[in-house]
Amino acid sequence: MPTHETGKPFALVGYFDTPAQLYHACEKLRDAGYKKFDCHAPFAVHGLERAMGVGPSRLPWIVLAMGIVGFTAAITMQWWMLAVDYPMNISGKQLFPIPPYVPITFELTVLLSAFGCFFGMWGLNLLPMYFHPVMQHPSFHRATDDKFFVAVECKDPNYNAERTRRLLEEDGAQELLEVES
Amino acid sequence: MTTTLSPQELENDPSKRMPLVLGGKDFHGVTEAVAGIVERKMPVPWALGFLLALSVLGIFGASLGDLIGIGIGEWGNNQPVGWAWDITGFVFWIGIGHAGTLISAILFLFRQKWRTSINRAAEAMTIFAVLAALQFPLFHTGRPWFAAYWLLPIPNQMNIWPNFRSPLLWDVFAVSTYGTVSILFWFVGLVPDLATLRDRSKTRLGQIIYGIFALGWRGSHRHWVNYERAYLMLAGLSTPLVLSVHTIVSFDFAVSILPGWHTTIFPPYFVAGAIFSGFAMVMTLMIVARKAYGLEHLLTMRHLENMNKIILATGTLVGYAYGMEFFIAWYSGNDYESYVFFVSRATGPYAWAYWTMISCNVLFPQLFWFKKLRTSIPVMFVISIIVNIGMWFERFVIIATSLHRDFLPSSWGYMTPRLIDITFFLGTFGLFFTLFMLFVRFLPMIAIGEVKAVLPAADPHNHGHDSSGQGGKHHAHA
Amino acid sequence: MKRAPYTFGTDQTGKQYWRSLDELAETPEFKAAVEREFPDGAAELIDPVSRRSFLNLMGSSAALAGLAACRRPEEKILPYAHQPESMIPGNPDHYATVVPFLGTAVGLIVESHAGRPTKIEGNPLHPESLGAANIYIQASVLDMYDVDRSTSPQEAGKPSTWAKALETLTARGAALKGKQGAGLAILTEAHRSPTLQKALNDLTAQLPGAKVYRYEPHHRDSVREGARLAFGKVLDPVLALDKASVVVSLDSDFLQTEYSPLKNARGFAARRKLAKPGDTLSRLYSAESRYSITGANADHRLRIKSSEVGAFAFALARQLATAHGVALPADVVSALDGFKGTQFETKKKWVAAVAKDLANAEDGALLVAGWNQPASVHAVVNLINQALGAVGTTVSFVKPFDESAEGPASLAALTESITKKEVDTLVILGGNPVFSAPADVGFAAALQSVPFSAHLSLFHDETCSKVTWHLNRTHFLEEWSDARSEDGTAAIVQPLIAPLFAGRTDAEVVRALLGDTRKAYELVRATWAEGQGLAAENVWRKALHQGVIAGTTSVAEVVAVAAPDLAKAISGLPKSDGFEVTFAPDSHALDGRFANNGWLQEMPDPMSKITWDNAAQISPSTATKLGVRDGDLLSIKTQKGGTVKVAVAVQPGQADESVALTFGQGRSVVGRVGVGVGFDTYPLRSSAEHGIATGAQVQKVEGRHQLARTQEHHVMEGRPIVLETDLKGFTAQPDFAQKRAPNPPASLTVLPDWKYEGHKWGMVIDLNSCIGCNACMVACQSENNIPLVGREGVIRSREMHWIRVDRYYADMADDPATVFQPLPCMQCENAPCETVCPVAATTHSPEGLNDMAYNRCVGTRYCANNCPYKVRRFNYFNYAKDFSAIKKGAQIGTFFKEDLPEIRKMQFNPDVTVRSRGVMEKCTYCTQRITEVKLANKRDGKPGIKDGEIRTACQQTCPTEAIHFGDLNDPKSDVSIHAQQPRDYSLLAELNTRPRTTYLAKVRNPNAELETA
Repeated sequence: MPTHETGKPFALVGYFDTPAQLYHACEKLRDAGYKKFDCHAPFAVHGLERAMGVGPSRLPWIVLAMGIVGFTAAITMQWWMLAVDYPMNISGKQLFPIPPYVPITFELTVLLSAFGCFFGMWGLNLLPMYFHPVMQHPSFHRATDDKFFVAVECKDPNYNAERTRRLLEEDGAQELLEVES
Repeated sequence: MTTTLSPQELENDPSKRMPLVLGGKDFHGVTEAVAGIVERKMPVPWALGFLLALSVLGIFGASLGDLIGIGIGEWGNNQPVGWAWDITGFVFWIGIGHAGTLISAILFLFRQKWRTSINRAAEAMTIFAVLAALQFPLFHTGRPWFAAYWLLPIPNQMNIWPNFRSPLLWDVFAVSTYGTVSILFWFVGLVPDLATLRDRSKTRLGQIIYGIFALGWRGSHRHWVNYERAYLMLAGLSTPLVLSVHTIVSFDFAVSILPGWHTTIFPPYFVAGAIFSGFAMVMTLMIVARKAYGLEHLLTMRHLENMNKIILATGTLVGYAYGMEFFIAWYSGNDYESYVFFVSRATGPYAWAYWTMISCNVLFPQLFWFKKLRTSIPVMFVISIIVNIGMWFERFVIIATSLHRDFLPSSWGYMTPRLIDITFFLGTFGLFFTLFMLFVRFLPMIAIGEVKAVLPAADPHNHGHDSSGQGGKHHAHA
Repeated sequence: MKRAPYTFGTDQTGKQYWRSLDELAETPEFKAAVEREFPDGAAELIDPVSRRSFLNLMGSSAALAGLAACRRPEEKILPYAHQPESMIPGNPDHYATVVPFLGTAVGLIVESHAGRPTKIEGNPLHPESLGAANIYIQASVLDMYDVDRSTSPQEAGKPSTWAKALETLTARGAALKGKQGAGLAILTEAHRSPTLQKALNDLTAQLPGAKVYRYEPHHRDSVREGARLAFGKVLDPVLALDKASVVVSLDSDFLQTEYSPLKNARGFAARRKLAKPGDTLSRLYSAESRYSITGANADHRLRIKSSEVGAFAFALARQLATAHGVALPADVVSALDGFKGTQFETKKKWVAAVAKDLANAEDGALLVAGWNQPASVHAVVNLINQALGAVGTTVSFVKPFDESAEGPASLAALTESITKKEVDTLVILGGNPVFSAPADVGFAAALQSVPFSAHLSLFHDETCSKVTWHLNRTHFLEEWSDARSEDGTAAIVQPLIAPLFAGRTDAEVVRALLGDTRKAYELVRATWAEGQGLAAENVWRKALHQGVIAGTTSVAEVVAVAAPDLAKAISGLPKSDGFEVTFAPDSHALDGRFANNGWLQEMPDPMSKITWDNAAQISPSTATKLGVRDGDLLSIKTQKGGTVKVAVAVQPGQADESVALTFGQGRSVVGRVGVGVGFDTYPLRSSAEHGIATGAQVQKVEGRHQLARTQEHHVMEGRPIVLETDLKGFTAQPDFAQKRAPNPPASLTVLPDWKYEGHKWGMVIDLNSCIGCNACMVACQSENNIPLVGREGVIRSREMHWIRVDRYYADMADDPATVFQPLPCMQCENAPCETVCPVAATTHSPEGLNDMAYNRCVGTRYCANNCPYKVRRFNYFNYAKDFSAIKKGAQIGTFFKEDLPEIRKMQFNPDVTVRSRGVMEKCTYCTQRITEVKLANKRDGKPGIKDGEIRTACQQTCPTEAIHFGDLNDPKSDVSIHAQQPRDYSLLAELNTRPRTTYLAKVRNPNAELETA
């Protein structure tokens, strides 16, 4: 997460009226070789990540791992508890019958995968984070309503206050301001 | 931006499909429409409804106190009918709890965009229904204070573990997993909208509370990428889960040896029934909410009609299951089996319950074959309620008629409910509606972000020439 | 338990004994406890507040028991099983005693825990018991701990003391001496106590003017009169059914309530055992109106009005005389001819077949007439038995214990002399004549006119409220006494515990009139010292120890036909016209004395399965005729009696136009349990028509009354549940049962079966022996602390009995055959209940018991749902601790609970957990008994367990030995041998539950000639 000493400019933030404008702007930023920039939209604009040149999420791997944990945990638990730790003759059945153990194994696999999915996502997004410099933009509250924000970080090597501003304005970016970190 | 069409016009020109959002809402319009409900001053009708729900919840509390204070005998259960209204209520609520996740997850996977207007409320309904359902398995036990503990694999002074062979234990895991995952799924969907409310909130308190739960969401697309993937995978996980829950609930019966319970058709039959009752409940709630909050433009007739089609389909499936039970009973040549169906259910002491079930679940939904009825609000409202009555009776019939006359005629009996049976079940509606009223008052009952995403304007390649809500369809999710 | 049963006060012998370490130490607590214990402490026993002091009390008695060996007792009672030295707190002792019952006396073994008698069983050495006990006798232990017992004497309804009472009695006696006892009347039950007899004889010797009367509501006067008519002297018949191959019951329920039921049941069953093809069975015919269990066990049952049975008997006699050359006196035969043209000409086929069978019986024929039948019928029966050579083999006659009448006649005589003001002092020893007197004998009214009347009884009853003095009586488990059984065998009644409420025995009260202050123990010793050779301590000890006094059995009288008045009596047989009403003792309250006994009230009637009630049983077609159904009310009026409203119970097998009533319910002055239970039918019984009332008016009246039945559905729906065949069928295909209900093939599963090394407990129940008497149910109830659910509970079908006796009719028409099936837990090897329990509260023991861990159970009731035999019972409320549960109509489940009285808790068996609310419970093959024997043998270093060493409660008490229990791994064990029999089958075998409890199929022995009848 960006460490910010106040006073230093953090990023150039502005917004568009339509997803289309944002999309084009991002394509241009991407082609101009910008890396450190982000978009803030009220909903997930389809395909925008391609326009931004952002790679696919790593979340699935986390989920897979948790799923495997859940599965093995379930099998081990049921086997150890009923066949090893406290074996009992129940209805003359085997101590380790597979079929009756399927449902719980399934459920635990799903449960842990879901946990992986949920917490993994927040982890990857570094959320919760209750303050972020872009939030200082006076109109930023509309980022969750009807405006489509773009924020180009000053740290980006290609960043140049003038050029970047012009590049964005061409696509109709409004209220372009440098927010301090 | 979008043209407005009435159902009638569509009748005239089938080539056009009904848009998902009527009345030319733009992004801000959508925000206003939904968030406005939450920000508005407390409407009097809501207050009255909430009070009503609260008082019913009070009845629940009283019944619960009586039950715990005195004993399970306060219910009508007996030998041989060891389960009656208790487990009936449990299966009833769990069934209702299915529509939510189903609408959200499965329709999401199938890219059914029309789900967006109803999935939020449906998910909420799921969670509250599961909570209501949980009351029964816990408090129908003779000693709930122990049940709550020993049913889980937690070390105890007896050094003994739960019996993983028991379908009841599968229930514990299935229902709790289902509840948990539903809540996660629901919350994930809520976060962006909570951010919206946070950013619109005029009061400090609102900003703080919504702010905390919004987790500092700022709509960053780098977040959206993980978010969308998470949502997709949660949907993927929930889909088999939602099917597994009622399958496992049906195992409570299918795994036993009781004639009328011991049958392999139960899992699909129960799932169909669950979707059936779930959708009916969503209908009931939606029709009311839609009227009360003037959401006709977001909850269009097309949504309702689609749901009615599903009700018709699942209702017919259930009807098929009923018939198949009889066929198998006859075809198996098992005396006990055929007695349960051809005598106990069709003509026995509980025949009244059986025929109530048949007419409510199989006959009435058939009316939806007619588009006129399928698209008539009063008709669908009444039928949605009839269906849930019928589904309660289905569970009662399965449980009571199978138990009251099993193998040895000497132990046959009959179960008549006592006051607490009724008040306890009634009370769970109080629990459900109290929570639901709170939900519609303080949370966005429609997924703002998702609705925006299906607006034609949401398509990054749309420059205002697309005339239907299907805009952006050719751009699949990542 | 060696203890002065009566006073802890001054010691008669002048020697002072300390009774526990506390007393030795003279602690004030103990003194307090002692003073409190008797008699006033009683009041506190029922008061929960004084629980502490009560426990103190029990503590001291236990200690005292433990120290028993340290001293020579003042009055010594002897344990049956072993010497007192082995008395260890925690280990039960067993004592022999005897209880008078229905004109006989049954020897008992009573189990006692730390001085508290907890369970009553039969004494194998006693000829009337042979180890068995019936429902009433077993349940009577509950009466001793009844919270509603009378706790002190009362003068004119106000509590008084025994000191005062005895003083008054003695004074009264002294006053009577002046007029030679004129005006003194004593009314006793049909007692069998030599000591009481002696006391009464001494009384009449000293006070010649005194009169002694006997009254018993269920009496055998006509039996004795029948003997007199036939043989010229009053005699009691003693049946030996084990010697009879053909038995004809003429309206007699000799398996449950007449003659000596336990002995009869054992004898009957002995002839119904069937091991292999070729074995023979006895044959039982029954002609009766009320469907009794005797009729249910008959091979052929003739459904006729009781008032027609006489005519049938006569027709039978004539047939035997004419067709089979059975020698009967000429005048009798001609008198019989007078019955030509009665309806039994229409039953010719039956008469012919039965007569033929009797005449050709290969060994031992026997006719038995019911106590309700007139003397003439008994006389004819006696003549036939005599002529068939039955007398001496299948029936013998002995001198009655007391020849004087015990029916209405004697009570009528008493009442008459009261009204003639001849009686100024009336002492009633037990019984409840005000409630049970015949309707036309105005006893109650007369009683109030007696200046001085005293009544000795266990409870406050109808009679107490009408006498000047009520005296609280000892329970038979608290008293020293003695009793002779039907066949004369004598035994000593020895106390198991000091009288809880300082009651007195009958003999003591009689003696008190003579100013004799000896206590019961001395009186009994005295009786048996003189000429009986029990003076010597060791002989006396032996008698106590064995529970039988050797050589006291009466010798059979030699009888010869001397029937001058019989012919007249025969012709005088009352005609049967219109509706008849028959009276039998109630299956719950007997003659009313058990009305406050919860176990018996909740014990289903063997046939109707009705609990907490009595009803008017009528046949289905009669019901249709009267336009009534179950639970409707009938108004019944007898010619010589009053009118009574009774609920209808439609009873298949009941004779048409015949209403079967039971007497004993509907008590008006009774404890909490019996209050308002059932209908009082005594107002219908007149002295002239005490057993059968003809020409009664019966009609439907408004209103309904819900009957609490434990079984609502009465036919098998064609399912293979109770399998039966006839002797021919059995010989043709011995394993017919397994053919009908085959066990699934072992190949059903590829997985290996669970192995049971060591013991493998199993049970076999012989349906051919079971007579459906319910004895097993009470045995189980008292052994396993099974709670009561009350009338409401039964109506909601939540009864808790671990073993039940299912009763199925062949159909619901007028004349169905009946089968019984005792149903304990089957202890399935593949128990469906276990796998579904989420908390593993019910699992299998290494010996194959289906164990139930009560403290683990959370009460999901899934196991009960999944049990195909429905033998699991659930504590829907806190039955074990909530006394309101057993109060009639008590709406259990109010917040206002009533704790079980402390005194009631004394009966609980400490070896068995008392289950709490919300817990499932079930039969465990008396696992506590198994463990007890195992531990004992281990302790004593005995190798293993001998077959028969462990007996379950139900098996132990079964009068017909229908239940076999033991180790299936031991091929020579009794249970294995029976399990190998071809008749053996598993209930619901097709479910592959592999029950450990299996059944031996029923085989009837019908007469080919009546097959179509």
